[in-house]
Amino acid sequence: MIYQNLEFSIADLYLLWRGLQWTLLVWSVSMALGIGLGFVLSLIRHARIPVLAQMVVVFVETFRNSPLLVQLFLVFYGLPMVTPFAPGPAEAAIFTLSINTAAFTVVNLVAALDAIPRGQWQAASSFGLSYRQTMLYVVLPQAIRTAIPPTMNLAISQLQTTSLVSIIGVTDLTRSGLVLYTRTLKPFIIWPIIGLVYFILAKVLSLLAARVERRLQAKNTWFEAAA
Amino acid sequence: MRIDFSPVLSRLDYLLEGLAVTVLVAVAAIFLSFALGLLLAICRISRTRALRIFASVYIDVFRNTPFIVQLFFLYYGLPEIGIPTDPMPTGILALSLACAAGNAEIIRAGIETVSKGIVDAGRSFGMSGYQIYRYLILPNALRISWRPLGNAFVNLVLTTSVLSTITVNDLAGNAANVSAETFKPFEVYLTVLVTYCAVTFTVSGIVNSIYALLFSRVAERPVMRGHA
Repeated sequence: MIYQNLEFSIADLYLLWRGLQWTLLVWSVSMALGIGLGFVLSLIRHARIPVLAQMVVVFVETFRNSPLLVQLFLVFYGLPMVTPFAPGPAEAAIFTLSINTAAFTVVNLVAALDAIPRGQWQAASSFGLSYRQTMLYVVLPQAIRTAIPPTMNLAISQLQTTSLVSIIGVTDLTRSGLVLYTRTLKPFIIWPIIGLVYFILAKVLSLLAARVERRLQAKNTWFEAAA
Repeated sequence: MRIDFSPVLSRLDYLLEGLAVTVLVAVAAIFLSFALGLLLAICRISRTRALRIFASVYIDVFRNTPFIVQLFFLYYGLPEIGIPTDPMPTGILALSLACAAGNAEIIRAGIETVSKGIVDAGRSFGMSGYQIYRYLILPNALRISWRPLGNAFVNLVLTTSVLSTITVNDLAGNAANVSAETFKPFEVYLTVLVTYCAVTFTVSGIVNSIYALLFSRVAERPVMRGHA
């Protein structure tokens, strides 16, 4: 006799809770790593360091123009075959998402860095500031301020993208949905609930982002008045 | 282990079949999501309250839930209400519904840049609502929206890979099969990654040519944004 438990139980809530924890873990770690890596790569790209800068461009274009799913497969199934590095599902997921996020961050930050007028560099050098000092005290504070809103939007949209890590076996929210679906066969209950959780997360993050943006705007006013 | 692309080359025909499916699905979904997005954008700014609410709820829901959850909902849900689901039509439907939400926001932003003066001018010439949209608002709005729409189309092409999870035999799906057969995942997925890049570059190129073909003329017309 085939035993199938078609009903929901309290334990299923725990499953969802664990899934939520994994989703948030994968998301937050890979956002932190990805934005950090993207920051370093943007500096390389902006400084036009020969060879390295071109490598950054190739890296960015490759990862922006290919599906995350294939990137996940390449890292999770492909890397162990050609390198000694054999990541588990969670490591592969975080690694891939970080790299993917870094690629998009570079686009935002390089645009923000390039938007700083040439005159500021000239003014800084006429004050005797070195490249490093100009970058640290003049260019980066402004560029980061412009890059924050698009980067926050990127992070919010990457939350939806993390659902793909369920395909390589991370037991995130989507995976727990799939587990519950295969047991109970009730798609009209499970998928709306899973969707609702993502929806609420996205809304909360958007509210936080809007608040940060308002603060930035308030700080910007003295700057714009002086300009 | 050595890197060896020959197993990939021997299954090239199968991978190319997958590529054909990806292109087919992407083209169908691009057209459908564009049409649906346009319709939603018009609803979103319509004077009828019900249409406005419907469009904004639709856009909010589809933009803030993961595509894979929407896909599973449709693919596993439709048979429950007596609609049989084939992977490919369901996939195209899900992609179109999801991407329409993003497209609608982009088109709406474009429409909002068209100055009210143009609409008033059209009305004073006795143009109908349809004529105002067709000849005044849309050409200007779409010119503004076209490049962001192009990005959305590239995104759509990349998202087609997710359809492989409901057994559509697209490029990503066939790649998974070839990788399992040949036991060369690295080579297979690397090849497929580069192929996707080629497809998205082609899509960007087509989007740019369409812009040059259709909208470079529109750009010459005066009074587009802002109020005099």
